[in-house]
Amino acid sequence: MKINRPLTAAGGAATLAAALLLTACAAGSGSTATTAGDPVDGGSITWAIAAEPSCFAPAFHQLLSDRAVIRNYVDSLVYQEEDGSFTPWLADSWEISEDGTTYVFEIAEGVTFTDGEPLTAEAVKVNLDYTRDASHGSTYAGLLGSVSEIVADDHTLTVQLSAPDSSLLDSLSSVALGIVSPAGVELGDELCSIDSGLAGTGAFVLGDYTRGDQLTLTRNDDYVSAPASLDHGGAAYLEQVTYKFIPEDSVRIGALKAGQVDAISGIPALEVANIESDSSLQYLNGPRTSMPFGFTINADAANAPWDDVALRQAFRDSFDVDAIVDSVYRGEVDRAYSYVGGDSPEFDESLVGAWGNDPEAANALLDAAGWEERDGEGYRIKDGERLTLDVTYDSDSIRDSRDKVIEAVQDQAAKNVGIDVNFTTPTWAEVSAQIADGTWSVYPGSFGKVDYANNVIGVWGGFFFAATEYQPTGAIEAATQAATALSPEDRIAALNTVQQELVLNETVFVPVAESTFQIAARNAVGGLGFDFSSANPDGNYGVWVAAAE
Amino acid sequence: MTRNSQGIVLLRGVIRRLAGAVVVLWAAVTVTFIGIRAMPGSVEDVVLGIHANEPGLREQVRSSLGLDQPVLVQYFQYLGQIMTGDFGRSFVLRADVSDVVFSQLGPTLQLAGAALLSALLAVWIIAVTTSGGSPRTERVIGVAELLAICLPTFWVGSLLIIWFSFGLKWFPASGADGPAALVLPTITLLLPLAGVLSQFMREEIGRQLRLPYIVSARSRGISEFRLRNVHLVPHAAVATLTVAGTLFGSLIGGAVIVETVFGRPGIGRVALSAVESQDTPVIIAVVVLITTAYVVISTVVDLIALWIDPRLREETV
Amino acid sequence: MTAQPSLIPGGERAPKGPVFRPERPGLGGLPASVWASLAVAVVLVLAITLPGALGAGNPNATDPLLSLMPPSAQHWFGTDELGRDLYSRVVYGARYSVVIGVLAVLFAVVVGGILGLLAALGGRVLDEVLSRLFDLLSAFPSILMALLFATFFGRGTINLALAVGIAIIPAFGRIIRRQALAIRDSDFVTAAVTFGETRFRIVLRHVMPNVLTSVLLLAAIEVGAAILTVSGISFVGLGPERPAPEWGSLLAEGRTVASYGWWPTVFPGLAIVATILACTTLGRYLQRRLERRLTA
Repeated sequence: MKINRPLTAAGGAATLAAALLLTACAAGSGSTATTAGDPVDGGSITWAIAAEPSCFAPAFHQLLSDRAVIRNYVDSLVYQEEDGSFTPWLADSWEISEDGTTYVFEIAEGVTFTDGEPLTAEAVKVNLDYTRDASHGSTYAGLLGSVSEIVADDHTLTVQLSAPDSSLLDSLSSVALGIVSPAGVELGDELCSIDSGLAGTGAFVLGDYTRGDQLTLTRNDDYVSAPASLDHGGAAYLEQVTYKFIPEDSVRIGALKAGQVDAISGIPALEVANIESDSSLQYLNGPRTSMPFGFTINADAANAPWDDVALRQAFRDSFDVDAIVDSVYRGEVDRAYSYVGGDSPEFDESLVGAWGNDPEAANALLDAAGWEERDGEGYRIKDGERLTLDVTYDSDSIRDSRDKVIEAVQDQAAKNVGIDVNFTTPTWAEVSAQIADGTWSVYPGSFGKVDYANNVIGVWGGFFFAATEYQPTGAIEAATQAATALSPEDRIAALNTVQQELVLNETVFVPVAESTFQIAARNAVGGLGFDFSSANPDGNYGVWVAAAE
Repeated sequence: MTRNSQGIVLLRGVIRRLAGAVVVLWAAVTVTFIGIRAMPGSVEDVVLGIHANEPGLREQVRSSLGLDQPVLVQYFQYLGQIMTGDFGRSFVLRADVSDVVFSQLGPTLQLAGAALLSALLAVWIIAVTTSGGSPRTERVIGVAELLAICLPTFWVGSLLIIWFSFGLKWFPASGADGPAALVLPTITLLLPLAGVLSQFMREEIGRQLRLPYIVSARSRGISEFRLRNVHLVPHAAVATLTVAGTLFGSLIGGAVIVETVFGRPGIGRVALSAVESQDTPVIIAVVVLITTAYVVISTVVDLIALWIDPRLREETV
Repeated sequence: MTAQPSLIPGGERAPKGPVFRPERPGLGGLPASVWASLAVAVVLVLAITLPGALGAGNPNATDPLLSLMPPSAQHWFGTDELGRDLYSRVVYGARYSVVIGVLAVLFAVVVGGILGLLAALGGRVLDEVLSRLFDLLSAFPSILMALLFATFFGRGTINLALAVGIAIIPAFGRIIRRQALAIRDSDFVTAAVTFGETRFRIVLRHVMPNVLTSVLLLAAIEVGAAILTVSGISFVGLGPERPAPEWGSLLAEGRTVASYGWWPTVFPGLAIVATILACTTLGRYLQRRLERRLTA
């Protein structure tokens, strides 16, 4: 829970290319059959979620999972559909200039913030201008990095870009650029707390909040600004929504099974069978559009001998990804092939089966690189040095049994090819300091649903390899092409190059497991789903709870 | 000793202990300050995170945190702030540290208070009903005490959740909503406390049983029930109470685990997550808070002991 | 503390096992509980020194095909989600839980011993300062101490042992101070002084041997408490680095798979309880024996 998670965002919430992308995104799998019947007006729902948002202001929230909570009271300019296309929300319509550098939005009329302020183009401008000014410290300033000027005229908002930005609409659809009442924007991160006057135009209003325990939202009865494409307009069904913060997975699941809460998010794969076997519960697995979990390897000379690409490839192929992922996640999570999530339109199919689980080839590579000798414990040595790969994962970020996955990789790499994987879990400051000065070795982690092009430029170029002599030049150049591409085809072609560079040619990223969000709920709960701009559980606008039989 | 000189001795005791309390607080604050400067990675790395290498940002963060000043200046600024109760702003929770810590104090006090009171009550009942019982009863109680002390809190808590919350559905598994949510955490926390207190209580009662006043009370034909409730247990309880004061550390340490297991809000959980995310302002506030609480409690217990037990007064002179 | 109210609250008076009637003597004059504790102790020593002799294999060898198998003839305690043998992990876990507990107590004995002697023999001001320090350390929650250690110095076995050990320093510091004071004022030391021995020699020749016995007994009890703290800290995620099978970490892992089976939660828990009960029982038994000998 710290500044590194916004990573997610730094690169951008943005993912899907421009508005023209029509490639279908596979929906989440899972048993969606519910007995909730038709929507029912009234009632309340209680969620149990793992992490308590540390900030409720869109510009300063830190965890991707916070978006599920914030979405309830915040609307965005545009709405991202399941297929990755964009439809009107707070913006009734928009036009993009031929050269892709001018966006003109018509802001909806007759919408008011829940503190009584009217929604105008000026209000939107105040929000966006505040966030994009880096000196204000919003983690999401980078989302608007391409913006050079914003002009507001009554209900017309003109956004001028310095260069084409293929992910601008995606950024605008995300919670991070959600619009709040301009009255409090200047408060900056003081706006985080609920009693600071935080107000949106959303379907619910922030209510009682007990730190460390729970948050209650009440229905905004005057809600008129639902996304145009939804078949239900006006106020939400539910009168009240409560989020309880229960970090312990087993407790959260037990609370659901015992009927203490109606819905939960964050279900460990091990518990899925347990939930699915309960006929009174439903389980939904979100779309695989987030960046997969995997190992980011430092290819700099400071991390010798791993500056040799042959060694990195040997490590990549030294373990059986399928078997490991299958055993740790009991078949509920898919292994990953690329730096891009398998359900994303940018995913490069050619990577499927192109690497992994080839100890023979790995051993040959290591032998050829001069690591032929073995020590008493079976590890390879050269000039008396053991072949060791340091993997550091800050303990606070470990989740989803990822430590288990790494332990399994550790065992197989030792057994199959004699690489000593040294897995430690230091503090974030320590890991962060090593990354800042370029002496890091391997960081296992993922950054949620990212704008893949900007993520390579910002996170790979600007973070992991900012202080190293080595640069993943090929990937960064291709990513820059993707970010400024004017057609979706160009963007996808460029991103395919990025994936091949990172995983195959340079092997600075070894993908392991797809990363998704999950929901489990009582069958009486209807209308659950995911927010496609973040792959997170959606807000509760379309959710209802059937009366008990 | 005259009443007056007694008063002077008491006053001197109070002053000495208060001076000691101030020194202890200062030492704790200073050690924490040094520790944070010594930690691997630096405070600004925590704040910067992924933006570590953005040009100019590091300097900006350093100056906003006051890290660009000489260490001694930083130290005195920090002392000054703490003395005025200003713990700064948490850069992880994005809120005033005082607000965070004080808002979490209530649930922890509730839990600790409930555990301590029910432990004392349980111990009283055990003492009254079993003192002077058969050797078999004594042995059973002895084993029970041992188990209560030896069972890992986190194990007991997990098992209680599985049985009484998920199984029997009597109590909620987590949260701090109403008295029902307090039951299981309290039981978990009180077990080791009750074990230790009960040992002391029974030991004390055993000692008192051999004292002359009990023997004479018995010879006066006083009822066994009255003897225990009016004479034995209260006397032993006073001695036990001073022990209860020193259990403070166990109580807070236990709260960290109980709050984690049960997902209850409270100081323990705040402390744990502050350490995990290296949220130094919150860590400092928690250390100061706990040290202060300890100092207050131990000073009060010391003074009570001083007031009750004349021998200590002489020692002070 | 939390795990374990330090068994010696305030470190002043060791609970003497209240009004325990003399236990019925069993085999060889020892009560059955002591025999059981001795057996546990032997098993622990074997687990630490020769885990192979107890039939434990590589605790970190994974086998994805055998994940979460219930106890069987091949895997006495079953397997975990990576198919690792839980019996081997529990046996090897002693190398972490017990060794860290013992290291913590050793550290506390050494530092507590030095500070206790300084307090007793170093003059009034030092005595006062050290007594305050002991008060603070014994009251400061050891879990928090370990948390702070992890923040300031990073994680690791030694840091964990030090953090847990610090909280036990006062127990030893006080007992040594008290005994040293008692001995200093006793007749035979006074006699030694008149015979012209130096302070240092007095401490070495007269004070130390007398103190040692009581320290050892207290140590036996404190090891149990220290193991409890260590496993509690591992449980909240600040124990030795993975894949170290420390018992508290095993329990935390077991809790995440509790819906799949009872064995990952039950066996490590039993190991902790058996170890602590054994340490405490042995410590107290010896303490009573010593007291009886002294009063006899």
